[in-house]
Amino acid sequence: MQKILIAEDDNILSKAINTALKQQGFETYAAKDGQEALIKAKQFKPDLILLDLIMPKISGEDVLAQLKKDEETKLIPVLVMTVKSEPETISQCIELGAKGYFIKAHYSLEEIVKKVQEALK
Amino acid sequence: MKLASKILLLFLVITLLFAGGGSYFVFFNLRSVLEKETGKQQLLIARQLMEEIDIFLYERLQNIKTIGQAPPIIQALASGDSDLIIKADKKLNEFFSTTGPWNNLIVINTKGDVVISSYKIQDISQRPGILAAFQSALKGQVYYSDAILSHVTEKPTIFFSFPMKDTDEAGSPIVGVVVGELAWPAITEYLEKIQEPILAHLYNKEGTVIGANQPGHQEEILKANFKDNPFFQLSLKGRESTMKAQSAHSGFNSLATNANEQGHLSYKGNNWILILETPVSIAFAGANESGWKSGLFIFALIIIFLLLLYFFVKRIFISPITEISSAMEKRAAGDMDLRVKIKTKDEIGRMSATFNQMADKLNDFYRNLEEKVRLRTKELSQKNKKSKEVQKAMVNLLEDLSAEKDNLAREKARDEAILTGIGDGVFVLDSEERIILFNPTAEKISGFAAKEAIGRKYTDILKFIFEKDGSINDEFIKETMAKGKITQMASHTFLIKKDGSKVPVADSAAPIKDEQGRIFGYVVVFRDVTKEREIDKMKTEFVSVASHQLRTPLTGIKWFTELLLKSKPNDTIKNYANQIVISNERMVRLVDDLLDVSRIEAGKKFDIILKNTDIVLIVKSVIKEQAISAKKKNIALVCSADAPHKLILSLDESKINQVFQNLVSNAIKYSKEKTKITIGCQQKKNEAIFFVKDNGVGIPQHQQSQIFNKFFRAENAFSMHTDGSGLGLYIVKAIIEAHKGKIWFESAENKGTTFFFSLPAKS
Repeated sequence: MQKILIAEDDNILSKAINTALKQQGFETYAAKDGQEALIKAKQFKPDLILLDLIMPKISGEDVLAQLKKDEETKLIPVLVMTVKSEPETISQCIELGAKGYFIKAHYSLEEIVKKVQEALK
Repeated sequence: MKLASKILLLFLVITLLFAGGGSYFVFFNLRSVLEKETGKQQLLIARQLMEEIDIFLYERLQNIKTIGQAPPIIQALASGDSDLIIKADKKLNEFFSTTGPWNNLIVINTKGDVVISSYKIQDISQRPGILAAFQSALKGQVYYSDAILSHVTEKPTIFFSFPMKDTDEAGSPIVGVVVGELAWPAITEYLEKIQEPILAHLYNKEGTVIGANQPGHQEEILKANFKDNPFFQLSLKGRESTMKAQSAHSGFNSLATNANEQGHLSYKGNNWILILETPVSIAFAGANESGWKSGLFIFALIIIFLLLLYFFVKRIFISPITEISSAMEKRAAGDMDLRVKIKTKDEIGRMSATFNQMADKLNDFYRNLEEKVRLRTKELSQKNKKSKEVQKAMVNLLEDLSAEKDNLAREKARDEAILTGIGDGVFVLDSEERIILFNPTAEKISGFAAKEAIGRKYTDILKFIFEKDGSINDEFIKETMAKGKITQMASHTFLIKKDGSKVPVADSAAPIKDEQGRIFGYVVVFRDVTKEREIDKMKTEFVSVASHQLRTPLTGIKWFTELLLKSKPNDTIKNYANQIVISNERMVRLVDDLLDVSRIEAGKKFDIILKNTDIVLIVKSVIKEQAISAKKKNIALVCSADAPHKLILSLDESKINQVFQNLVSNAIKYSKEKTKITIGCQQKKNEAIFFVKDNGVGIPQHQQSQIFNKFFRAENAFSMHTDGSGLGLYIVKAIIEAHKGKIWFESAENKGTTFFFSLPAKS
């Protein structure tokens, strides 16, 4: 069973994605802030991370940068999902090594699950 | 000053300079030559006199040798026989009178006893001069002393002595000594050959006077020492020389020469010095007089010469010129018949002839003129009448004009008061781009005083720049100049103030035209928009933050509605949930649009990412996406028949997609049912033109100019009860412009609207 780490500070959104992914048979872990995301990424070695950018303690951008620096986690594909739609933020995340980037409100859960499946291929 | 007086004065000055300088030169030159020659002569005399004295003393030395070798005297001395002594005495007396002159001749035996003498003398030990001479000769030498005091005469003398021997052979014993005391007046006689006013002095090598030619100086002999006398110093420097200085003897400024004693043959001398001095004032009294006389003579000669020259010049040049000039004066005063009578063949002659000709011609001219004046006066008096009438008319006209001028001045004052009081910065440029007016608000905003600005090219002091890159942005002024139209300043323009700081400004430039429509200047209006910009910025930031904050709950609604629909709800719930989905999608789009607008407002151009993309594919995907909503209204959404199958352009795919989505969804929104929407494309040389054509409600004519403003919606759009934020076209325009393209439309109310936009083709 493939493991997905959902790093999302908003409870409701986290719950929605969690539900959608579980329905598709993924094993999910949730992190409420950047710090927790980093700890759980090392602890559980997920197959993919869904990463929010605006999070308490450590921002999503910093989490992404640290994940990619760490030998243990740098190969884990990261999909950034956020409310930020500025082109500079998008290109920053791609440069940091994100595998994908999507704006939350623009995608349905079905589309997100599809993106996760594509990224895991 | 008259010409004659000028020349006379010039001649006088030249005369005085030349005559004075000339005679002065002659006089002093003459004097120095005279002194030099006198010095030379005096030197010759001194040298000769000194030689004569030396020869005289040499002869005395020879005398003493002869006496010392006389056999009767030697025999008497050797034998001591009294008869022989008497004979010897006789012989000595003979020598005394034939040689010399001597004061005394003394023969002394080797014991120092006087054997015979011309004047009786017993003990030589009391006579140091004789004793020294005796003792020297006793050693076998011929001897002579320097000038020393004689105890007999109380005057200087020289002692000569000679050792007397039996035979002439060498080694023969000395039997006695003969000593001769010279009579000094003989030396004095030589000196006395030199006559007044020349002073002759003989010094020994210590500087003591031993002889003088003038009686007044006899007392100095052997008493006065003149070692410090400048003339004596002269003798130490060289054998023979000349100098001019104050004499230590006479006190006069004198010309002095010296001759040092050289001796003659076996007489080697005592290094005596003979000095001759001539008092300059006395010696050259005559010379001075003749010098002055010749100077005066030359002076007189030059004056006479120059006076003669002056009279010639006056006769040849000045008199004729004076005559011509006085003739001219009289001619000017009105003497018409006067003629100059000079008939020489030189330039002056020609001048007078020309003057005469001129006078003739002038007379002719005057006569003509008088006639003409008479005629003209007649004409004038006739015209005068007319002109008085004209004058009257002119005065009336001028009165009108001055009233008009007052009006103009009042208007101008009013205009200036308006410009001064206006709250916006205003400056006016002439056709050369120079500032001719600069109002107080412009001073306040720019920091430049009107004084500094007026007269200068606006580009020299006022720098309008782009906020983004600081490049010059006075395009709005340039365009006004080029096209003669009112032009708005580009948004986000800064003005660099005098102190270098930047102030955001906005407004426009406009041409100033005269009545014929010719442009003669430009007026630029600008205002400080710092506060507006701050408010704008706050607004934009607020929109941005709010939009981000909105997206999260919107996503929650979106996702849980999705989950709800998936949970197999009954039809009622499904229907409700679908309504939520539609509302939610509208809200999401609105937030997207607001974020786009806030980015445009913040001055950040769309960061479009250009990629070579087939735009036909975009059009197709948009048609596919919009097909559902089109179908709902039975609208045919088609691609125009002449559209190309493929068209690669450099563009940002998602943004152009957004453009088509916006235009097509608008077209569907504002179309009635069962109409047609056409999407078309025309490829041109440098650009591609796209259009979206509908047969909808159209845009009311009076609102067409506002259609691209943000939040604007046409009044008939509201009546359609459709949703819409009024942001779509605003964003579309921004996207197209970010691609360096243009957007425009054609619309007629109730007939339809066609939106066109162009994108640059790849070059």
